[in-house]
Amino acid sequence: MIGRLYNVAIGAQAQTAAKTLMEIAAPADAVVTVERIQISQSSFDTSENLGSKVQDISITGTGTATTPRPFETGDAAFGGTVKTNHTIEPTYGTAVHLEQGFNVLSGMLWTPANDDEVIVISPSALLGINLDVAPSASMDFSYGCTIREIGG
Amino acid sequence: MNGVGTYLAPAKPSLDVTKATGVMRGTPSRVAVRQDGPIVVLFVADKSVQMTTPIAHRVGFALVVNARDCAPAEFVRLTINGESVDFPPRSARQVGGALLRKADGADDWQRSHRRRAAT
Repeated sequence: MIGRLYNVAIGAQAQTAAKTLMEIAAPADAVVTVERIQISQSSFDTSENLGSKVQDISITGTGTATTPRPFETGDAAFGGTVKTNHTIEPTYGTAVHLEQGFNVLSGMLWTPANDDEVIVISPSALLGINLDVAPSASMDFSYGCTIREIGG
Repeated sequence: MNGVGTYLAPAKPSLDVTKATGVMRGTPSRVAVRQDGPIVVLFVADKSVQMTTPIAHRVGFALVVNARDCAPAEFVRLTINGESVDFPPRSARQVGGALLRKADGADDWQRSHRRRAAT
C-alpha cells in the first residue's frame, strides 16, 4: 500500500442547517486522496431528500478540529488538518467534485468507481464536504470519510 | 558489423513535468491511466508510456503539485522523451491522482507476486 490511510468519523451529531460537515486540509508536502465519504442519520424516520456537495475550498472556515485516526494502530498522525461541524462557513472555490442527493432514511455512501475518479487534494489545498440542503428538522447525523496521505 | 569510432550512446529516457504558459495544445480526449501487473501505463491518444511504480509515483505527485501551483492561464506540461502533452490544472490533478492510485495497485501486485527465496 502506498501512503497512509486515515479515517474521520463523527457519530450522531445534531444538524439543523445546510452547512459544511468536513473540511480537509492537505499537508504541504503530501497529496491527499479521498477514498470514501459517508453521511447517514439515525433519529428521523420519515422519507426526506437532502444533498451533499464536495468542493474545493479557497478560504478556510471555522469548525471543530478533528483528529483523523490511522487505519494501522501506531501509524504516524495525519500531516494535514481536518475540521468538522463548521460554525463559520469556508469560502468555496469553483471546482465541484461531487454533488449528490440522498434520502435521509438510506444515507449516502460514495466511493470512486475506479482510480480515475478518486478525489485529489493538492498539497496545502482544502476540500469541503457539506450538507447542501437544510433538513426539515433536527437530525442526528453520522458522517465521515477515508483519506489517504501520499508523500512525495 | 563492428563499429569503430565515436560511440553514440542512446538517449536517456526523459520525463518532465512543468508549468507552462502560452498556446496550450488541446489535451487529447483519450487520456487513461491503467495498471498492467507491476507497471503503470499512461495512455494519451494512440501513444502510451509504461512506468515503474517509483516513476509513476513521482510523475503523479509532480502533476498534482504543478496543478496546484498554476496561476490563471497556466497549464501543466508533461514531456516524455521530447514529446509534450498539456493538461489544464484540474485534469493534471486528476491524472496525477490516478497515477498515484495505480502505483499503489502496482505496488500491491509486486508484493503479492514477489519471488520466494530458495530454501
